[in-house]
Amino acid sequence: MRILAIDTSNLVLSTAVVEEERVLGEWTTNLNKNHSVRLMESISQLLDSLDLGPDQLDGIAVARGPGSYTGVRIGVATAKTMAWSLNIPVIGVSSLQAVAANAGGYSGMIVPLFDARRGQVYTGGYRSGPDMTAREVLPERIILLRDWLPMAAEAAADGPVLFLGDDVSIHRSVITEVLGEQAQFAPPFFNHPRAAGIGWLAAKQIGRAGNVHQLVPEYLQLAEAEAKLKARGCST
Amino acid sequence: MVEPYVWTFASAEETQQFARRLAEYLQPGDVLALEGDLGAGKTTFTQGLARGLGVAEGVNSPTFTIIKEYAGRLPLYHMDVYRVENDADQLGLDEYFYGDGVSVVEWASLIEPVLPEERLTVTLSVGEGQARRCRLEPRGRRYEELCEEIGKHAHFGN
Repeated sequence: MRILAIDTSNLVLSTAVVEEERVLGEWTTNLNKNHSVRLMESISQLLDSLDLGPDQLDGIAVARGPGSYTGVRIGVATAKTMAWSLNIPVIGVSSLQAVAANAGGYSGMIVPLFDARRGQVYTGGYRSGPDMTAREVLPERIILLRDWLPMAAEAAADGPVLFLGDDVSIHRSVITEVLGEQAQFAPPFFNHPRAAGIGWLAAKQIGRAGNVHQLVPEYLQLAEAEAKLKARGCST
Repeated sequence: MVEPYVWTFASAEETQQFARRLAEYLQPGDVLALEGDLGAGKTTFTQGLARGLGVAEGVNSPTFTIIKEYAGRLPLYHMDVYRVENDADQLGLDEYFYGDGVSVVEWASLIEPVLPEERLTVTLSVGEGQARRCRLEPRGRRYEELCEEIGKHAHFGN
């Protein structure tokens, strides 16, 4: 089984082709450059260098967000279009889980985060499972960093909390202020998502892929209508 | 009470000239909330602003496209949110507001909850004949300074 994996949900543009036991190739840049212009070129160059044609793919994996709305849409729309036209399954993987996966094997709490502006972050809490997959233990959300840090610290009990993501550097002083030595920081190459990891996570679920049209972006924002409905006590 | 940031223009050309000068003081990440009835000159204003930002392309109303992006000294993000009122939080507008360019939002008051706290509200209204009134209302330090600067250097209109 061969999967093409894509992430354009944040600044990183990453594409990879993976098999169950092997990463065949991966291309990653971390720049504020136009993903919509560069994504197809990156896919086509990667496939060319691997001497693969699109018909030799068995599935598509994509980071479905959270992140940049525009970026998420570029990746998800491309993945769905390719999967639909090639008639192969598509799997969406959380963009946060993709970063958390970098720390598979870490014994403490893993907290990936992306800056969401206005003091907020997209984040969640993960722990490494026996198969090195990062499992979600605190559900992903958009939250004020100041509100989130005590929650993450408490959930980690007295254990260490590893913060991952390029945006951690913006918030490092606040994190250290609240968590002190409980907070740990990763080297730079742990901080960005890698399409190879997304492909690997997707390979585990590809048998359960639904209809291509069922895959939708995950913005982690409540639509105003949804928020109002919830405020009135109705469930959605 | 004196309103320090109110201008009156005799014509559409004067409105554009003012906007063109205003553009010279803008920085990446600036947000202008543009208010005014139909025909008050919102698009005219934006055209002047675009010229001041060095946008070569012609600017027209983004009513149907919602957002148009132009390349100039700074990128200009021209939005008309008249039709998106209820879906504004689904558009990812923050990427523009906090981006590398200048955002101009027509009918901004309709999406009040998703606008940045700090911004410059520009209210245009029709006066006698061809006359147009323009009121600048700064929110936040950056925009207060911007208005002071414009008040000091901008000698046009009345």
